[in-house]
Amino acid sequence: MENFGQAQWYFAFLAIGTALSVSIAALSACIGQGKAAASAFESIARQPSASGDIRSNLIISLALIESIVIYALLVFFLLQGKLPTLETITGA
Amino acid sequence: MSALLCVFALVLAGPPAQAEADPHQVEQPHDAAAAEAHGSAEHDGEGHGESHGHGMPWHEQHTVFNRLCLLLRNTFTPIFDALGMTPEKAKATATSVFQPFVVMTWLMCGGLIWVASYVRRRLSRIPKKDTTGFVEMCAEGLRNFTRDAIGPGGEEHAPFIATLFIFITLANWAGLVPGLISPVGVSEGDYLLGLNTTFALALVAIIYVHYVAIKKTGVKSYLGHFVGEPWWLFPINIPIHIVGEIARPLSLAFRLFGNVGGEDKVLHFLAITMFLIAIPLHTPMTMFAVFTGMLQAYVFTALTCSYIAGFLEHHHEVHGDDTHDEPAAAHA
Repeated sequence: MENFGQAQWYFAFLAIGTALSVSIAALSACIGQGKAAASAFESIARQPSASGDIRSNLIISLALIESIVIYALLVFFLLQGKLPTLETITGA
Repeated sequence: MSALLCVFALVLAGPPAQAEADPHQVEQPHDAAAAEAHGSAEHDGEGHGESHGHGMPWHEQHTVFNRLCLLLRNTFTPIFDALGMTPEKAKATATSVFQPFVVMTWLMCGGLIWVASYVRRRLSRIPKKDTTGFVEMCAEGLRNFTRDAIGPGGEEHAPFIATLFIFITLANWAGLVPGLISPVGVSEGDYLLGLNTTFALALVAIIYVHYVAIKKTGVKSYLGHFVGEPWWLFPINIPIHIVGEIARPLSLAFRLFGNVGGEDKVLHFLAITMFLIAIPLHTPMTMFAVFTGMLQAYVFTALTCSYIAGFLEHHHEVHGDDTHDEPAAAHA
């Protein structure tokens, strides 16, 4: 721990950011998708004859919400490529 | 028309970013050996993954499919050489052109064209005892889907939309077959190769959308879409609309790649972890991937349809035509 220099701090925070990026995005998008799905099911229950339209619109809006998570996933891939191996960090 | 666009997509998908020899790849064997020596479960999995060759360039991995690509590369290198390239350039070109995912794309394309021409020859008013019924069912379902998504009269776009749907579905499912790879979701180390395919598909789709918009509604209405409703707001509206139009192919490409590539990564990770954990998780995940592969193709084509519908509907609104009752699916 005595040689925990600036580079090590950088990589530590990079690792935390890598993990947090996709998990925060997934958390918030799950809430949004849950709300969308819940109201779609309510409206299908109220008006079953419109279920076809509602279902296709639901899938499209879920995909649009999900694309934000996908952007976070791409950022995750980019950041993951910058992470060093354990041997590089410990200098072994 | 759609066949031409499909070929255009494949040409665009051709030469991807060539994997340079970077220090990570050189270090790979050492890392794997060190990870094995450490012996913890996590590193064990990673070591196996690397030894399966995720970080290696494709021509150093030896699966059956890669050997086919290698054969193609070695066959075509002298041909490129004879076309007037230097030997190094010929080899580099052949290596990048005959990458597994490009060869996979061509194979799928050839198979689809073969099936289509076979069924086309056997079409008849009185059905023969044959297997064309399934293809006819798919074609009819896709035509109905296109009409529902675009609105009345939308089935004239069905050839293009159906081509996209079938191609993307098969491309997503190809990643689930052992030994084959998905042209959409493949990534090699840090190089997200699948983005080449998805960007080609998204560009073709968006070019088709604009082509249809200009052809159906005329240049004036097409430009009017960019200017917006009160015309004196055009300094704000035009940049917003242009940025929106640029964001559409980007989001289409990233969404398709991220979903399919992420799914493939999860399956790969589950396959290389410990046996007892892997089997009960990997099997249902594979079945789920069959569903999501089709779902992503549905999302891609439904969004393309809703872009077309957005342009056409705008045209109807401007001209006071209230006969349509299709809600715009989404303005992304």
